[in-house]
Amino acid sequence: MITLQHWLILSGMVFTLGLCGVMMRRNVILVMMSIEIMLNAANLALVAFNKHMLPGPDGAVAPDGEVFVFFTIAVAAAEVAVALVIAMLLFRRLDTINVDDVANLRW
Amino acid sequence: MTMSDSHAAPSLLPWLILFLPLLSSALIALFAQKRPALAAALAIAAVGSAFGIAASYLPSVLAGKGEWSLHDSFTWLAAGGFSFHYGYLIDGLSLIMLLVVTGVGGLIHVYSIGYLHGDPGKSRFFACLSLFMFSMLGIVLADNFFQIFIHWELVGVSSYLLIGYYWRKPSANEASNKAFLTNRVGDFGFMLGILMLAFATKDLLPAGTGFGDFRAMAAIVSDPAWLAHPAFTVGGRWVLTNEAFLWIAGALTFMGVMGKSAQFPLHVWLPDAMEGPTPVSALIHAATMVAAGVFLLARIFFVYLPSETALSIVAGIGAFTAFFAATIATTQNDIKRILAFSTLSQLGYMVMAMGLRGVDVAMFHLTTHAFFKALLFLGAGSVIHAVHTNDIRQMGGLLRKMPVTGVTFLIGTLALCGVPPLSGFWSKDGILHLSLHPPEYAHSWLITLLPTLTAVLTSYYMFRLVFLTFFGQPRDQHAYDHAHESPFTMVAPMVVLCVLAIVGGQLVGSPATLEAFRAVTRPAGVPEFEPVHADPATIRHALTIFVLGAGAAWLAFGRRLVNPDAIAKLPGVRQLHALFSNRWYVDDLYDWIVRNVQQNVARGCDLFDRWVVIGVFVNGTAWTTRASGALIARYQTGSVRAYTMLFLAGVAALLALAL
Repeated sequence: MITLQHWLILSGMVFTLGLCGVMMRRNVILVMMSIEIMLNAANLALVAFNKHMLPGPDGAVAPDGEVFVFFTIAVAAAEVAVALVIAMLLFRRLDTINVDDVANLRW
Repeated sequence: MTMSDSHAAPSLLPWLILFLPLLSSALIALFAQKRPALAAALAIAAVGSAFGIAASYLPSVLAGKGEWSLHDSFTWLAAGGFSFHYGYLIDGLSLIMLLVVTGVGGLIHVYSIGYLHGDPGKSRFFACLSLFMFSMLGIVLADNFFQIFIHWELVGVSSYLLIGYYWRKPSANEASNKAFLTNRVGDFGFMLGILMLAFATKDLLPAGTGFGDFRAMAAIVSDPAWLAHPAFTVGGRWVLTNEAFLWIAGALTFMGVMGKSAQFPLHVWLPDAMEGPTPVSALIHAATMVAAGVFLLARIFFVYLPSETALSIVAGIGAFTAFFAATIATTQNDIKRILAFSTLSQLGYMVMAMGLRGVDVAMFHLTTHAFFKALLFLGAGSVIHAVHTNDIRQMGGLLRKMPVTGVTFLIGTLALCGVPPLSGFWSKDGILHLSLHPPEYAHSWLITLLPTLTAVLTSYYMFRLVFLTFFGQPRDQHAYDHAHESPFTMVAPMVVLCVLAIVGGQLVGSPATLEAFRAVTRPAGVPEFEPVHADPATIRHALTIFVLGAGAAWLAFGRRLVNPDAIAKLPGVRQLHALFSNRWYVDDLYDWIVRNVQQNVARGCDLFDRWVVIGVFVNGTAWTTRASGALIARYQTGSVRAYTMLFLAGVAALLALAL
């Protein structure tokens, strides 16, 4: 039997994976991909909560979590569009996509 | 008009008295800056109309025997439980003052046309003069304490503007500042007094009456039951009755009088105010504004009437000022300053008479003094206009060159010295009579001796002035050769004032009309005093005083039988002379206080401001912000991975807190 806990542990593991990627990867594209992994971990948690926590008294399941997930995917798509443009401009201007080399905005 | 309808229906006409001069001032400032003739015409038209309107009430007032009055007011400001009114109150007292202010004021307006001939600031002068007339008439017409205070400050402003009329002269600027600041000291007490009086009576005011209304307050204060009632108690043991409260408030209010009417020790501004043009000295600093304090005492006499303590203070300060100023006048050499100290001295007489409950006598002297002192100032202005100096040691023999000025000046001097039958005799002898027979509470050498001595000194210094200016040989031949009689616009007002100085006394001083004058000026509850009768004893008394003073001046400055400079060097006399010519060192004392006390306080405040307010609070805040900013800025490394790390740490910390 797969319970909510299983899904949440999986979601946490995926999230941590993404977080480690964001912190350790130097390539901008890979950092972005890690962020997508974190978003997907959150999506997984939302869907799991919806399935296990939301059934009404008559057993019917309201699709609230799924709706949230659609929002997240839509926002993530828009975010990727912007982020890819930033990455492209970075490469054009600074000739690098290494985040450690892009440290001009400092005190 | 019969006694039954003595309170006439309110009318709009008196508002014109008040607001025509304001309108004229505004019109001159807006449209007549470059047209001095138009400016003069506007100002004179406003004053003339005000005089005409005021004069139209004279028959009603005289027929009403002090019962007639005209009153109207509107709510100017209603705030919380208080309503401040703005209105007019025309009764015998204010009508006499109205006629003096607009009548003498109108003549001086005409005189100014000639005196300021060709002066580039003539329009500004007339605008200020009209503003002054508005302010002064507001004091005269006021029906409550707050209106009178507003106009009290407004005359202060117009006086400031006019003293500093020759603004390129540093001494004129200093004099206008001195006048303004000295009056601040007095007005501080005045305001405290007004607030005390208004709050003490506010719960008993009839409905629809403004805060601080004179007539409503007079009715409350005259009630003996109210006087015995405690104003407030402390701890149930220490009780302050309304009577004591009243005299403290009265003494504080008197500070305002001391400032405006230049009574010792707040007199220092008036001699310096002579830096203004001479018509201003005549109008503001001799005839009207400085008399406002005396008028105020008459208007609010109900405050002083129940308390002999307050009356004694008023009488003592008045008597001392009269003597004090007269001694200084004997040693001055500036023609206008001698007249200024003489004004101080005469104002002292009036204030003293108020303190001796002689309200009608004081108002009588105010009226005649306005005539002859304005005349003397206009004469002095005429002389200055001719010889271009204020120093009487540079003059001499001017009677031959300026006969009209000389004769009118001489008549004004005789009137001031109280020679019968000129106007000064009737009013001044009334005051001297009062001081020789004072009420019980004022039996003191200060009251009985000093005024008579002052009268002798008055004759002395005035005739010293006359002999040095108009008689003898010219001491400055160049100035003498260029001296000439002044133009018609200057001479005509002097002649009119001269006629008033001669007959003004009999007009109100003769027993028939004096009764009417007394009836309209004496507030309720003040005992009536003996009118001055022109009997041989009184005349002999007045002439003795005159001959003593004028004779001494004649010996020293007319015939030169004795050398005044040699007398001034005698032991004893020398010290007195130094005391008088240095104005009793009062100005030096104030100078010392400002230099050593006020400056040190100011220095302490400056240090506090510099080190505590600016150093700790202002710069300290800035420094702390900058330092903490510099510290935190170190974390802005530009490394995205470091930010992520910090972000994670922050979220972890928040989670740790929340769980």
